[in-house]
Amino acid sequence: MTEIAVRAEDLGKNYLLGQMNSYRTIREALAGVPAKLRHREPAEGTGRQSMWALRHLDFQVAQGEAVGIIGHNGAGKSTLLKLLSRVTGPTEGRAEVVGRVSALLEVGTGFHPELTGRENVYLNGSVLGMRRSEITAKFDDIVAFADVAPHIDTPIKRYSSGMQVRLAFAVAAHLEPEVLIVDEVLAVGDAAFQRKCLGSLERSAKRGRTVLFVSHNLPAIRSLCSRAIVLDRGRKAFEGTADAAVEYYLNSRANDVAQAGSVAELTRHRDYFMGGHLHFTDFSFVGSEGTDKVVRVGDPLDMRFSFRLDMPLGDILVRLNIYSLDDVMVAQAGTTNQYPPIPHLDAGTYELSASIDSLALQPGRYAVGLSARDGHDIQDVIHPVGYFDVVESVEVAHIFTSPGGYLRLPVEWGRPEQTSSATDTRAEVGHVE
Amino acid sequence: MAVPDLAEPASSSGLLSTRHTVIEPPSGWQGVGLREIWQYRELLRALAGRDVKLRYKQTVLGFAWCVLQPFLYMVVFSALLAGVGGVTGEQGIPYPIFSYSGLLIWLYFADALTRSSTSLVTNNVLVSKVYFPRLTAPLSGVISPMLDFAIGSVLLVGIMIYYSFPLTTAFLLVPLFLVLAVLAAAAFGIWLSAINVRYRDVGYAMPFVVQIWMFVSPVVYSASKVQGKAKFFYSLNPMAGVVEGFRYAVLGRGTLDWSMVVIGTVVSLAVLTGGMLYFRRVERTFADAI
Repeated sequence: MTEIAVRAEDLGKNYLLGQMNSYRTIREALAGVPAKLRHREPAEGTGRQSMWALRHLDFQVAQGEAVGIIGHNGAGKSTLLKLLSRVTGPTEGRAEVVGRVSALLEVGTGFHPELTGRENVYLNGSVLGMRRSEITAKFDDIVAFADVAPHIDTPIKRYSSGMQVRLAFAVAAHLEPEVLIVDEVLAVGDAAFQRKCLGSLERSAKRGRTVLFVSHNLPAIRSLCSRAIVLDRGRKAFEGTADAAVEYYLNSRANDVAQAGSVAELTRHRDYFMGGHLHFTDFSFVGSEGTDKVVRVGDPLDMRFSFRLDMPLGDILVRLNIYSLDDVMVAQAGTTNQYPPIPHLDAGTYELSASIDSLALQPGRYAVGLSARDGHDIQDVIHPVGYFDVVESVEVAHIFTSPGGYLRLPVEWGRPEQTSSATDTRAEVGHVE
Repeated sequence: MAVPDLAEPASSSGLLSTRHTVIEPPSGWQGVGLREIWQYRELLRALAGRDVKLRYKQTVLGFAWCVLQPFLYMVVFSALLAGVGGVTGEQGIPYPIFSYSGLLIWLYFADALTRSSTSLVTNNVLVSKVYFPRLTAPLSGVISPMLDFAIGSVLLVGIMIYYSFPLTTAFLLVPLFLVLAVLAAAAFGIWLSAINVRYRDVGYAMPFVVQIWMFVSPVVYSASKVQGKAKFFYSLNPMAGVVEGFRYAVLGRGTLDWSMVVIGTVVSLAVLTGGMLYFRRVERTFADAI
């Protein structure tokens, strides 16, 4: 019989929108007192907007299971981890966690630049719930893992950022939780370091520790987790095997665009931090209906899009951004790459075409995003505006070995030429060793 | 280099493996949770230790500041108030030693109050990223200035020797008044730290509040100057009894008005109880509001 390590029942978290980033004034608080005395609930009709970051969430994690949490930004992943790690309290529902919990919502929480490496290890360890004796016992291992031994008594403000991250993860890696909750902490550091962290997590998951892992790194979810939960706008959208969940997530992303139909309806994908005098209004692939297209490797890809200028702008740079579905930017092409660049434009609506002669991408599904800026500000960013599928152009002999990576490099291969016979090879290998 | 695995779960230990956390919406008033603070005593120690280490980093004088601060205050007050203004401390006590003993305990309180009231905001990263009993933060703010106090006391001993003040049996009362000073600082610090999460006004008001508070406490003058009905209201300030009491315990001269100490302690305890309950009630939203 498997025992439950984490159980959530009807879990929900409501944020008052004002609460999240601005602090209230005392006057406003006093004005709210009478209302609060009358009905003790956070009143919904009082004009302050609230938002359910997470709602009606039910799930269970068995002991020793590794479960991934996938979702767009704002889907409620971080909120869920904050609730389970007790950083903040839920608004409704309940959750239970059995066993000693360690939550890594960030590596190096509490690190202080003025303190030495040694002091920070003790501080960070205590913050993560380790006992002092425990830290002392593991201290040498931690320093060795981080590979910072010569600098351990130097203030970490003199460390490179890589050294700081290594030291921080080293502390975290020596925790002894029964339930490990990990946020996107692995998104730091270089690729080699990320692999090291993933390897470390993977082994601990295989060894029977319960792991809850939030990541955008879909391959990592696949290899690390047996099951995964997809969150969408605060609700559980899917729960199943990691492979099925990743599949579901990718498809749901694609459907978002298919359902929206035109760029004008894609406004919820816009980030409103920009100047806002230029708006993309339409996007399509030439020779295809709307925002979806299938192309063969090496084929041309033509796109056409429209934008509206609310005022005259100069030095306009429009960029085409191509992402893989695990959110890696594969390519970016801007109008400054070509000459002459876009001159000063008056207010009005414009149509612009972009043609790729030969699409040198590996088979797979890709997203297209658009961004524009003038000399001063980012004016508009939309991601994604469309999707295209790349398929093999020729019958490939070994279809099951579909190529990895994103770029199709035109490599000229030679033919294998025998340089020695089998028996010679064996002798040679022995010699080398 | 070989990559070590995350360490083995400590599941063999029965205590840890039976740990069971229930996460629910906060339902009204919570207990104070002293047991949990005890479990997190090492964090308390680490946070206080960090503050102590950071205090005088990259300063030339370092911990000499602990002595210099009350000493300079003493010089200024002795020259201005006693010299020019004609303020007297208590009969038979030279003004420098009178004011230094008062300043020493006062500066501890002022420092502890300021630090604990800003503790959650200065530790905002911790609050928004890790779970720990939130009371640990203001409590660590009350602990770390104890070192400054200890170092500052060295000069007090020096001054006492200079003015040939022998220790009396009253000295045995010193620990009591230290505890009462900690109590007063924690009581108000806990309230203010919780309020500061929402209203940063607290942070701006603190220097001003501390300054005013000093003048309504018998730091540079004697509480014996306050007479009649005003005396009761004066005693409501817990630091009135603490400063008077500390000075009496150290110098062993004059008399101590115990009613002042008792009234102040009652106020401290009431504020502390209310503060803890309030703190526990709002602490679950700290991470959202900070």
